[in-house]
Amino acid sequence: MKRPQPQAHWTETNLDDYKSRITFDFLDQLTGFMEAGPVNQKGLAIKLGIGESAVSQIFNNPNNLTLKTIIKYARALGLKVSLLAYDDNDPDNTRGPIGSDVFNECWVRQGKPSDAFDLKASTSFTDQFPARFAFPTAISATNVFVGNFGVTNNEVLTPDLRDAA
Amino acid sequence: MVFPQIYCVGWLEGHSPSQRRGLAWLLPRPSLAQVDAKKTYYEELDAAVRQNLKNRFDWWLRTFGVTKKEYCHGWDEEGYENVWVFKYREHRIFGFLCHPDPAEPGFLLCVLCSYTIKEGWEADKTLKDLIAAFAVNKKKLTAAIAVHEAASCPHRNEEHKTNEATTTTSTLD
Repeated sequence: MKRPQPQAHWTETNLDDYKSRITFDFLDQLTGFMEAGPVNQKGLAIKLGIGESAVSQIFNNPNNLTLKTIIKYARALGLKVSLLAYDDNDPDNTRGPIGSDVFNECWVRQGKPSDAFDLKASTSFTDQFPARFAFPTAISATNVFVGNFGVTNNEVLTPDLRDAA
Repeated sequence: MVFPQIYCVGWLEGHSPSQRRGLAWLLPRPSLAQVDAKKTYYEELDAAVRQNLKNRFDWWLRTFGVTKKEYCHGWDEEGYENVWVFKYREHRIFGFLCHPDPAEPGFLLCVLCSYTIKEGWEADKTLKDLIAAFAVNKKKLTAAIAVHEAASCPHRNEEHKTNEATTTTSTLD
């Protein structure tokens, strides 16, 4: 099936669209935590000291979220927030932002390292195959990050890499 | 229901398909009043609603193995297995799921057909029936998509030409 020529992702149209995508993603994470945890939307409203309708309004239309509000909502659920800039080799933004679920899953798979020392201590792909994966410094941190996961057993290695192992 | 002679399918602008999933508008020729998703989306919905729908489209394109019925869902009922809906508040965009290219069996396309405002608890059965009929007819439709990869739709300049990326078309039996 013929694919369209690469074109700008809709989040490239204006900053509001990009912000909308990020805040949607953020609230989707909070929804996931609330579904899995003890605090629901009503409980979140109580913790925040605001009405449930105000919380519901934010979840339905997240455009008014500020960074402070984002932190406030996350902290009310006992969560933390990090802002991540990354280079995914898509400078024209044809594919859109990578979902935070991807970054989170990578972090969890790596054992939730809390700092660079933890990260270094964990078994990493680059440690096992330093020569093959001597990435140039310009390559995205995200790709290196992803490259560190899922290769602790040989099943996920390609035949070529299995030979190397 | 008299099905149109020609189907056009246009990619959603700004939502590039991946190797796994894609989104397209159904654009039958001659047009059908009930197949109004694209026209309504671009001409009648306000920007904030569109933005929220875009986020749901985006979520579906990139998410695997997670169900969020508040964003989009299908039905298990017999006859409606391929019907799909995207939701934002009372806004509904109905479409159907298909694997349009036998050479790429892993590629799932959602063809968006109709817009409606949800009024009752249950989804509009008439509309679901219409979409299900398209889904049943999808063998012809998907064959059209697969065979006529690069063809341009003869009517594509009539409307929304700036919003169409690639259009495929075929005359059906």
